[in-house]
Amino acid sequence: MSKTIMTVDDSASVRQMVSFTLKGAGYTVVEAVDGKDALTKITGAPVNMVITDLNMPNLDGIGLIRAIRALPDFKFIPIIMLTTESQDTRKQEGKSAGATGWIVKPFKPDQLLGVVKKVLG
Amino acid sequence: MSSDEGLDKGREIFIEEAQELLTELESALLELEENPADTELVGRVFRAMHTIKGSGAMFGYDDIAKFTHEVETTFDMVRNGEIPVTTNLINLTLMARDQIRTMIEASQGGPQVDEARSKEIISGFKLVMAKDSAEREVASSVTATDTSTTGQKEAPIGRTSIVTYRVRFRPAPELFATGTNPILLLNELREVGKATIIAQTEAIPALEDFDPETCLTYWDIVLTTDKGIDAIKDVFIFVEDLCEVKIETIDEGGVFDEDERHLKLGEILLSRGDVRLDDLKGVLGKQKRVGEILVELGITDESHVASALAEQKHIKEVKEQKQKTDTASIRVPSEKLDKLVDLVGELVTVQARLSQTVTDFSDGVLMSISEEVERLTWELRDNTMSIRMLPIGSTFSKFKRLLRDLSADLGKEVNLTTDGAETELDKTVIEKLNDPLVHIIRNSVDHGIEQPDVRVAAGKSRYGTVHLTAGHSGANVLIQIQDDGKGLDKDVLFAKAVEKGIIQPDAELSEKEIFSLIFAPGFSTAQKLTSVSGRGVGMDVVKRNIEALRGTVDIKSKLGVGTTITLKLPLTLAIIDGLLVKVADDFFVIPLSVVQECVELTKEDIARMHNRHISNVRGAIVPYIVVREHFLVDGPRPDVEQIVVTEVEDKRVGFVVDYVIGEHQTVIKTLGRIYRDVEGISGATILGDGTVALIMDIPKLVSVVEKIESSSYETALSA
Amino acid sequence: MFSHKLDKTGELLLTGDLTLQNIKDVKDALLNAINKASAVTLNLDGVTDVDFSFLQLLRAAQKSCEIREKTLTLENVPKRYQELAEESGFAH
Repeated sequence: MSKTIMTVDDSASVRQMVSFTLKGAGYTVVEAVDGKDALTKITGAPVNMVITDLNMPNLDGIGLIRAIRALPDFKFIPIIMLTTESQDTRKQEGKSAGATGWIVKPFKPDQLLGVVKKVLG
Repeated sequence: MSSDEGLDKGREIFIEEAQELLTELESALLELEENPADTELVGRVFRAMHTIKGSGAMFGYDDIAKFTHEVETTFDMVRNGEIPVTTNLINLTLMARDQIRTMIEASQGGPQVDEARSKEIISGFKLVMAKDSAEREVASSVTATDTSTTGQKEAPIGRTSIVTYRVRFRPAPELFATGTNPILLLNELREVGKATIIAQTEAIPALEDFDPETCLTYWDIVLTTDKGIDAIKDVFIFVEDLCEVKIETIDEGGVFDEDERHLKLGEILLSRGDVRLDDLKGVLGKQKRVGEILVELGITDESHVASALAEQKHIKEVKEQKQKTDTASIRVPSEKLDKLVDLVGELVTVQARLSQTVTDFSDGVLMSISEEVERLTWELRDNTMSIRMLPIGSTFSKFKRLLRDLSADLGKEVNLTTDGAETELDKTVIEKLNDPLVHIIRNSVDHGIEQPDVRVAAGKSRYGTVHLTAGHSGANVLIQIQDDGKGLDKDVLFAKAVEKGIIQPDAELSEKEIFSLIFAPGFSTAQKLTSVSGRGVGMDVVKRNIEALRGTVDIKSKLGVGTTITLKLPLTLAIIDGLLVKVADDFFVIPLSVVQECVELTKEDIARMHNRHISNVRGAIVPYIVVREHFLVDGPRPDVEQIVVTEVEDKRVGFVVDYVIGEHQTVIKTLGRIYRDVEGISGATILGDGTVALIMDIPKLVSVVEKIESSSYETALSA
Repeated sequence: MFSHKLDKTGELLLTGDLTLQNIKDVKDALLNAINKASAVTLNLDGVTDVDFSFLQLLRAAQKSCEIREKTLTLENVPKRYQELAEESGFAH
């Protein structure tokens, strides 16, 4: 059974790229446009991993990570945040919120797959 | 060495390495075609491409690096299971392989590379990548120039040292709450290098006190890798705040201690901080094993001792592995070997002179020294010869490709099976054997193996088989090429030979003689010429080449069942056992391998046979060549001469000489250019006293006498 | 998803995922079994998945059993468990 990964980003092009890459590698992908959308879609879905942007409207990445970790079903799933080099403090915040790791933007498809393999197996 | 020289040397090594890799690549591809699911083979193809690309770029072969990159990328995808192995992919990669070879040859002054073809092949690969996952086509072109930073690191190009690290990975209890699975990290470490991993669980309390959502285990890891400490740190990059990761170098360069000493168990435990020095001192010197005592005394626990023991074992294994690869082989230019063989040859000659001189002195001390030198010389000679020996397997694997291409061209289905690939032969023999073998295999596939439907109709498997066997037989190597094709048709061969004017219509030939007709110049049995083997030249060239190697060709065939061609070759070309003979003041050497016996020839014998160069050797008629006449040696023939009876291809021919001196170990020297065309002489050797002896080319001389033979033979019978 | 059933002989049948998600429930079931029986047999026949947290849990359970001089036996151990033990460096 293929694993399901949720990609959360307000940028359609980033979602597109992440989704394309992951589907190509055999994963099932669920897309969400922001934190709020993600929280709605995650309940009841068999999501094995979340890849989220940090800067998003409605509910941002940090908030989303905290919220997901609070859900019993997703307490231990890997969560990867997309950051930029300049967001070191945000990265720390994300980590203390419960993020598993991060990918620095811009990134290449095989970097993405490398990180997914690292945390999801 | 200036940097330019260094670069040139590097290029040289690259070319050599690339050629080996291309051979390896080819055999891996052909095996892969048979086992498309074998990931190990995919890995081999990938690694070959990867190395060609990496080293190519380093030495300025940018075109090769660029070209190879596409193939590598494709096989990386195959390796990741993203693209299946198809016949199309194999064909394309074989083409690419040939193109890379052309590029290498072009850089060596070979013909220009067909750029259009390179482009064609590359677009072929792009198509393969695009077809299987449209989206990744974009991805791969984006990543074409660099590699991921967080994913697996590529091994640095060139020689990096192999280092063994001791890693203690102790995660914070709340590790799981970050979504981290420590086991994935351990697996990642295993990809970095050879890892021995031991879990330490003493911190886990009894069940009632245990919070199962905490990680209370830590790990002792011994890791040997050439990727450097950063590759290890990268594994833990996401968890470095949450975990204690202690990395210590316990060995650099893969050599543990100059004096081959492993760290003792106590030392390992001590350096890990698992025991204190005082405790250790207390138990050392007791008769029991240190580990057992430490555990008994409660100084440390079993799992720490187990972990230290595992480290000991790991290091031992790495060391053994290193020793194995260190001693496995050493690359030396073949000219150096040739020079060595030459020198040994000279030494053998000088040694013979020494022995001879010593006999004249009859001095006991000198004699024993001389004998010692003789023994050492022979040993040195045998060793030197064995260095030049190579397994024939590399040649065999080349034929796999040949056969594949041939059968595809001819619409036949043929398998190649081999036996005795490990059989060793002199390097020069192997090189010179290539063309004859190509000819024979071509013939087997073209003329021997039938079309699949013909085979099925004949009740055979639709797949033909060509079986190559190599094996030792005394001082010779036998190479057999066996096919299960339609076999040789005696009547057809005979008719053809008559038609070509090779034999007379009323000639009476044995089966063997008829089969041998295919080695006659200008003979072709196929109904029409094919592009594969019908090139006018063929089996006659094979025979000549094999004879030039002082070998023989034998052919057996059964109609409808198949044909077997057997090549008999000497183990080495540099030294032969010969029979030393004398004609007037000239010395000749006849290779001992063809000598059958020596008989006397008196003036009466000659008269009895009416001067007809025929002798009666115990009732059998044997034609002979008078060496004196053939090589125009002056002087009268002695009353009693010697006939050295030789046998080549079941034909017995005598050589008449004045004296037979005895066996002689002959180091062959090539003749100068002036003498190269002298028929019947294959080389020269220097005798103990410095005299030159000529080595007779018996097969060539026999073929000369053959022409005279038939007429003389008939006259002899009527006489 | 996880369920368990303890019978009178001390056999604890575990079904479903023995992973972090359920590990607290698995612990409770295991502790209950150790409390009740003197010889516990863990039947893993119905196990669909297992992760590292279960390996740790078993170590803890073994310690409990050692202290209380009870026995703990595994039955129908799935292949994945063996692999995981290897990967985790527990196999020594």
